[in-house]
Amino acid sequence: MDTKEYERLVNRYLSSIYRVALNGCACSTDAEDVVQNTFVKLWERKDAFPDDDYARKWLIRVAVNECKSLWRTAWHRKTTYLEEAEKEPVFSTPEKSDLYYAVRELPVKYRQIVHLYYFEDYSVKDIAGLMKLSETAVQTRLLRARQKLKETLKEVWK
Amino acid sequence: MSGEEQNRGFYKETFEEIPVPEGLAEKVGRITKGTVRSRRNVAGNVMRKVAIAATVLVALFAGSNGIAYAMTGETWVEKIIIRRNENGVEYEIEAEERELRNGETVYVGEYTTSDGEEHVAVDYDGEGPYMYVSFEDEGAEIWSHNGRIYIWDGDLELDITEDFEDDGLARGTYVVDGVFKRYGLKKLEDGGISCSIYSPPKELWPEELR
Repeated sequence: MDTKEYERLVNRYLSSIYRVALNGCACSTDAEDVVQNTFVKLWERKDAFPDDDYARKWLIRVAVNECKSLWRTAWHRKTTYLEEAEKEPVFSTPEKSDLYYAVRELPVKYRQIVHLYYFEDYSVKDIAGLMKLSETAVQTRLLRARQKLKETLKEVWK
Repeated sequence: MSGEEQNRGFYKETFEEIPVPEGLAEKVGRITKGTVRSRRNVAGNVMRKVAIAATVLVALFAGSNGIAYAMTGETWVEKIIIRRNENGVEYEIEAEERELRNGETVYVGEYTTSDGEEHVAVDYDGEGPYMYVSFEDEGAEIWSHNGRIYIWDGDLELDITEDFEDDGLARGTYVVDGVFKRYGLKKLEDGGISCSIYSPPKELWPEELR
């Protein structure tokens, strides 16, 4: 990939991939690693993308796989360390903060689907393709995640 | 606007407020110059060395406790077996106890599947309000929520809260997608749960499922 195209894709998708990574890792330091590894793979990619939508899906899939890979390592931890506490995002309303932490408390396989569905606007079929799951599995996980969010957030989550 | 549309709007507004960390764009930009190395890659290399050492020590341990103690300088608290079922093949993984920086204890062992892919299995990782056990994305999980304890495996959600005996142990079986599985859970003093879920060899399944 040439530098100009790489930089264009970084500018366009960095924040999106960071949010996918943060959602998968629930830890900003790990998320930064996932983002870096994802863009290393982009830089090493030889073939051009047919269009930006394909590039976006490719980047998200790589980021999701990088998160999975992180979960397989013995050193991965799901707790927040002291140095992480300073990096917690600050939200404009308590309801948004509640939503963020409610999502974070979901298991990773539900969090990622929720994020791809509600933030990236992917359909169940798209998510099934991205995560290599059946559409039924995606629907089931979405349903459970919604139930858990509703239990936690009450009237804030419709 | 439907409830789902409201949820989507609320979700987007919330996550759009999360800023990309300062310096990340610069780091990602430097990738083209080959000067960026992620923290995890470095840790991964260290991990591999530690895992290999652990495998050797497990072998030594089987022969002589004394050698293992002498070589590690550490105490082996307990040797446990993690059973991992993957594509119908059961792996018994000898695991050792490790304490993480945050004080949590996990059991770690390495195994290699028949296609040569290496995995590190981690048994039990406690987190906040949930007790969560999952070797991989598709594995069974243990959830503790609102005082109830569940096994989630595929489409199955099994409330096992009442299975726990006075001694803190719960044992049982279930079937998911035609696969017979056994579970054994133990409540720990620190509030965590140690867990083993596996599918035994088919000859040990109930006759009607074989």
